[in-house]
Amino acid sequence: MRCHLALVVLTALPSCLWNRFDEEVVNAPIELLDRPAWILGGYSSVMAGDPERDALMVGGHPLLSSGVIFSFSKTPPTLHPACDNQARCRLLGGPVAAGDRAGGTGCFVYGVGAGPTGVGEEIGLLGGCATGELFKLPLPTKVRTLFVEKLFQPGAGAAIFPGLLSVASAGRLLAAGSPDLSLVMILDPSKDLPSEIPAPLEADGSFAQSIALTGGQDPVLAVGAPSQGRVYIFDARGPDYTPRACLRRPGAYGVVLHGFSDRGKPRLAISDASGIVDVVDPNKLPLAESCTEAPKEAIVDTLRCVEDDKVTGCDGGAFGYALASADLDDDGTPEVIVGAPGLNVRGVSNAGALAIFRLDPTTDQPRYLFLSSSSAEERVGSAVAAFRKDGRLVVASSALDKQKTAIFHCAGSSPSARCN
Amino acid sequence: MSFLRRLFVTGLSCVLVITVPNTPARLLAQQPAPVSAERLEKARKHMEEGQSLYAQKRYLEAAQAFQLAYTAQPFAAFLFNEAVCYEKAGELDRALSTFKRYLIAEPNPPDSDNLKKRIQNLEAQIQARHTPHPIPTSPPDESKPPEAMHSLLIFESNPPGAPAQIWQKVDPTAPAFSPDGGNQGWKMVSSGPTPLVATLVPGRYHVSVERWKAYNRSDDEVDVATGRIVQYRTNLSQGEFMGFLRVTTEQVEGARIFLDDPPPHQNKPWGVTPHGELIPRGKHRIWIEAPGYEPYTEEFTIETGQQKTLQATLERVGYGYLVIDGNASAIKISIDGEQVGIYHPDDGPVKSKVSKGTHKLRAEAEGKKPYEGEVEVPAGQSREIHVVLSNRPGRGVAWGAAVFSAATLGAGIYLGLQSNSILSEMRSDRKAGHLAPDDERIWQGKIYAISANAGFTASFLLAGVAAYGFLRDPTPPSFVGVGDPYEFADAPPAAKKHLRPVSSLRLTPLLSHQERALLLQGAF
Repeated sequence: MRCHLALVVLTALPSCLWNRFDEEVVNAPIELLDRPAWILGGYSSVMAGDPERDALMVGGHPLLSSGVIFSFSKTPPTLHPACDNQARCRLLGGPVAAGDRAGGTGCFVYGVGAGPTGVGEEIGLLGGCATGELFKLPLPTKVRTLFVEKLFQPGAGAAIFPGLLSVASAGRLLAAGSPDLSLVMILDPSKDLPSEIPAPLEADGSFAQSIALTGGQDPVLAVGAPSQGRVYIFDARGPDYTPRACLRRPGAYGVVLHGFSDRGKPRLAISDASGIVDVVDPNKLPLAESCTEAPKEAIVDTLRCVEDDKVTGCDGGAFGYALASADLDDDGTPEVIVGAPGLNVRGVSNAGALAIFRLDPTTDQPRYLFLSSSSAEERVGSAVAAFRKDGRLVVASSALDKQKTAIFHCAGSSPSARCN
Repeated sequence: MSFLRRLFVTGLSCVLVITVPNTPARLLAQQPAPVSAERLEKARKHMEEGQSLYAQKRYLEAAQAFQLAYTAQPFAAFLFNEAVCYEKAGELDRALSTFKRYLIAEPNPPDSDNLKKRIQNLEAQIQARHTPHPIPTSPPDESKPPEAMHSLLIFESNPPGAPAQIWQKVDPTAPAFSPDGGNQGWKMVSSGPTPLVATLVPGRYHVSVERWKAYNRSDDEVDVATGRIVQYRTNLSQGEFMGFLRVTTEQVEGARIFLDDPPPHQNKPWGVTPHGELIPRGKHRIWIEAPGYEPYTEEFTIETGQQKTLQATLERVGYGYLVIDGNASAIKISIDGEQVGIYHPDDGPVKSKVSKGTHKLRAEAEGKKPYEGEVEVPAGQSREIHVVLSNRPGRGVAWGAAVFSAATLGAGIYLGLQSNSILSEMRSDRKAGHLAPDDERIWQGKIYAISANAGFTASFLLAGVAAYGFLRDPTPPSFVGVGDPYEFADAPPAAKKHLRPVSSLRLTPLLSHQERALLLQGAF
């Protein structure tokens, strides 16, 4: 008993050194980016990163705030507003990484919409680069006209927020969707004008709430109609923009879509409202004679939220609220980063988390990494992006409660002083 | 050489004679009476005065002097002399009454016949004076020599009580007095145990003491002049079959000696040391006993005429007594770990018999500091121990501080463990890659750590206070006063008590229901 007491005392005595806590967070694995003053609220609600560049764009509340583009090529990082006139810049769709454009590098494209009045505000696709350049993408005349008509529709008033709700990119391809207009337009640099893809006849009003472009040699465009529980698959390069396939599942399906390529093969990550993320190979989907569930052979992996002694709240945890992908472990195959902002981690309510999965259909849920926060209502996973920083792939996510952006330096496999 | 030894060796009879002038008179035996030297001297003075006045024929004044002598020492001889003086002065009535008083004082005077005739003659003369034709009486014959006044012989012996006889040589031609008897011309005029007082007429007398007890016979002759007081004292010599035994003890005086009286002793002690006395020759055994000493016995043989001295070395007994009292009620007294009693003021001291040597003494009482120390127990003696127990200081504050110290230590440990737990969590998170620089647990952990430190500090300080409270002792230590050793039979000495231990110099009030004093303690 005496020995036990002595042990307890000896164990407790080091607590005298309270600076241990400060030492512990020197070069902490999470770096926090402060909110710029021009972003009014909801900082880090949306974000995009370029896995090939030291660039990250973070936006505020959709339709309320603008965004900021960080460049990490220098220390400290430089940051640029996403719009010239912040008061007229209301981020609505995206952002998505758009490579190098308009003479800048590390560029992002994002849709902006109109506010309650719409007067003097931008509507359309804007772009900004980490090097500070801003550009505007052309809108088809029909689209512009429809926006204006929609904006000034009698009786609609302040309840209407028209704009490009969803934006996607894959290489040089860009896509933007507007549920208000029930269309998706795709911008192929090989063509002079954007192509318009109208909603299929059977699609409902949620068409184009989510869209995704896959990379690879035969990229596909996926357009979600989540209320209908459908995801329409198109050949991204056309020229025929009729659905090549159609996936459906009871309930909300295709709430979030994320396209990427695995060694040149297109991949689609599709999340539903029940907390399941399917990773499918669109090339193995049957032709779209009818809308069906994805056949087994087309499903690369199915990602689920799993509770354990630290993680609770999968039901309602919004697993799949944000999706991203990057080859974090540098094995040549990208990992899927799934945001789950509603999870409770180690008893912290709505701490949120990022679950990073290696795609391996032969094993059950080979989770690669689990990143979280220790603060309540942080809702890590509301947005997620992967980009390069100091030559390493890192993951950024939201830290809503702190109104900061959290950079998880240890998501990648490259060694770092921050990752012991 | 002692007086007794000289007396024994020489066998002398020492005679002391004091003589005074006497008047013609017969020897008169007196009853033994205590003779005071002072009164005797006074009587002698008056008797000399009376003798002188009588010679000057101043009879009435002489009678008054003899009367004073009788008052000083009521020897019958003085009455006889007074009566003669009255008779010479013609005071017949007073002469008659004084002769009659003489007869009362000396009912059997050796010259009783002459005295009776003298009284009758006086009565006749007095009768004739009262008749109408008084018978003519012859005037005093001035040609006669004056009548001899009676003398006194005071015959004493050492030891007193010896059977004594006084013989008068009535025939001047008689041979010398023989103790074997047949003494013609000698008449025994008085006998009895010494001291023997006899009224004598002048003449030669033989005084003797019969063999008595262990004493030899004593014989001597004394010439008694007229009107003298003769004081004769003889020291009786011992018989030749005795030996003289003297017993002494070095260590103690007053030890009781028993001669040939083994324990349990049936007789009174033969004497107490130092003591010497004649004892019959032969083999004897003595027992010498004194409190605090082992009984001593020795067998010895004494020869006739031998003077033997036994010097006994008494050994102290191997134990002593501790007489213990104290300044509190219900003091538990333990010696060498064993409780020997509980001292209560009303019951008197605790007396414990303990082997001689050094012993551990412990005294304790409720609410008092215990005393523990060593006391020396004297062999065969008692020693008073006065226990002075000091009040035990209160420890409430110390206990309170100790409890709070333990509580704050416990809180400190708890908070420290919490702090460590948080740090461990943070390290785990850091290892997992999701520790932010503004992690809320940093402050939480710091607060726990600082609180733990505060707890440890408070605990340390309180522990110090507790330790000080436990160690601090404002009252002096308990101590004992050790008295000087005294004999078993003696009362405790009133000597000062030696206080110990002496540990510091301070004045401490001693307040108890028994004592109120200032105690001065010093250490150097």
